Amino acid sequence: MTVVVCGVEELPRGSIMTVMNGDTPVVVARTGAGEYHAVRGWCAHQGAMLGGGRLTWLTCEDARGGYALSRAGEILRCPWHSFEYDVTTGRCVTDPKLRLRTYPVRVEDGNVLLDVPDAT
Amino acid sequence: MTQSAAVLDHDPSPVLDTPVIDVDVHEAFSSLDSLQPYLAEPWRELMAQGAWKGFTQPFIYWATGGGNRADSNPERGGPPGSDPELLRRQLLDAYDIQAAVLTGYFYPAMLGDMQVEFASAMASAYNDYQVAEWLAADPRLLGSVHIAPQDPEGAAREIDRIGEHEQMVQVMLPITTRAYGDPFYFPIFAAAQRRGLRLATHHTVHVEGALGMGRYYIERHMLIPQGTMAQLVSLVCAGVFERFPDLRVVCLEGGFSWLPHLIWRMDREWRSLRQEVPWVKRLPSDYVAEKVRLATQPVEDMTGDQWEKVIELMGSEEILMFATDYPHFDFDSPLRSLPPRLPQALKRKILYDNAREFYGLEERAATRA
Repeated sequence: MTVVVCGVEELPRGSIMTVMNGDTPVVVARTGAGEYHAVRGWCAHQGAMLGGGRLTWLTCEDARGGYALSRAGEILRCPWHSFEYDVTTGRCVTDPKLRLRTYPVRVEDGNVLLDVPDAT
Repeated sequence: MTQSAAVLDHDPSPVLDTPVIDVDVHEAFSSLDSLQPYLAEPWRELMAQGAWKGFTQPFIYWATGGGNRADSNPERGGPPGSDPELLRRQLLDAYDIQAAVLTGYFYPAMLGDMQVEFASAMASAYNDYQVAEWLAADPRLLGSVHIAPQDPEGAAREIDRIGEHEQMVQVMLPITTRAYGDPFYFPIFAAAQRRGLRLATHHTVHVEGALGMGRYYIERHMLIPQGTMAQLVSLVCAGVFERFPDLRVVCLEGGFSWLPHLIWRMDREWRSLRQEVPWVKRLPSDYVAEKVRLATQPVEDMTGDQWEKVIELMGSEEILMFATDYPHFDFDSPLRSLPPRLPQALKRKILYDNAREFYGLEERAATRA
């Protein structure tokens, strides 16, 4: 089933929007680079609604032992315990066992379209 | 597209099959001005002049929502935890919570040893605010008497003043850098015992580990249980549980999986060195089993087998009491923080029975009826 999420201008770079597919939340994210991704919107840890979280960057160590920020808008952080998910893969940054289902997203005629399984 | 078998398929709506009591809920005021109507003079006028700006923490928060759940900001403005309606919606109604113990996070204990009269006045104002704006708002809410422990006589007067309110169940003992086994604090324990109130320890932003706060917030957060362990050791070694035999203590937000280590260690030391503390008349583990309860939050992500093993090593299924810590960022969901495979009877004890017994909620209801 294809769902019209919104117009492209309604989802600026670095932002997220939650779409309900029946009872299942899907978080649609637009990265800092302008790509669209979608993941299932429950945290795999304690079930928080990820749409209440924040899209942020990947934080690593730089060559001087400081903070290196990259991949702006590609990491979705849970609103509760701050677990981090890579929206491009659904994988939890810190635990390979935790992974969110991902869904195809595309843009057509100025709209963001999401393909999800039919809601039961 | 294909999905790896590693994708977790959570049950979207797990069923809560036991009633829930939440023993650690942090209500908050919108701003310090909320206390003004309840503040006595001369403090009211001084505060109106902006003579004190309130507490702040000596570090920056790193979680998504700062120190709170990022989804807990009230639509009407004000900090997380300051809107009783949102708290009802996100917590009490969302999880059908039967009773929730308010624990605040405005602790005059953090004022230090200066101006103890001011600290006690702020505690008193906070208690009246809590009664008027929270306890009156929902009968499911139970209260904590806030005190300035640096002013033990004033604290005892406050416990006597407000402790008989029918929804008040305990006295808060915030953990800063004080060890409460010092006889200086005994008037507080005498008053709590006199009023039939429990004691609840809870860390503050001043709590330290053995080597200080650490260099980073994550370190400080890892070290919080050390403050709880130190308080428990202090209370046991001071003979507080002998001197005040009706006193019972819940340690909030300080972890629990360390308890087997601590009771074994305390028992061993007592057998060797009890001559130094003859007022400690029984094995420390006996006092713990009888008098001490630990709140579960923040749970460590253990398996069901690990939970059962830790509880077996604690020697009692009656020690743990469930807490969410709403609205703080490390909130534990009543639905998902306990492993689904925990035996039903044990789960019910943790989520409900142990707290009901500890706070005497059945007797309280019977008294009110």
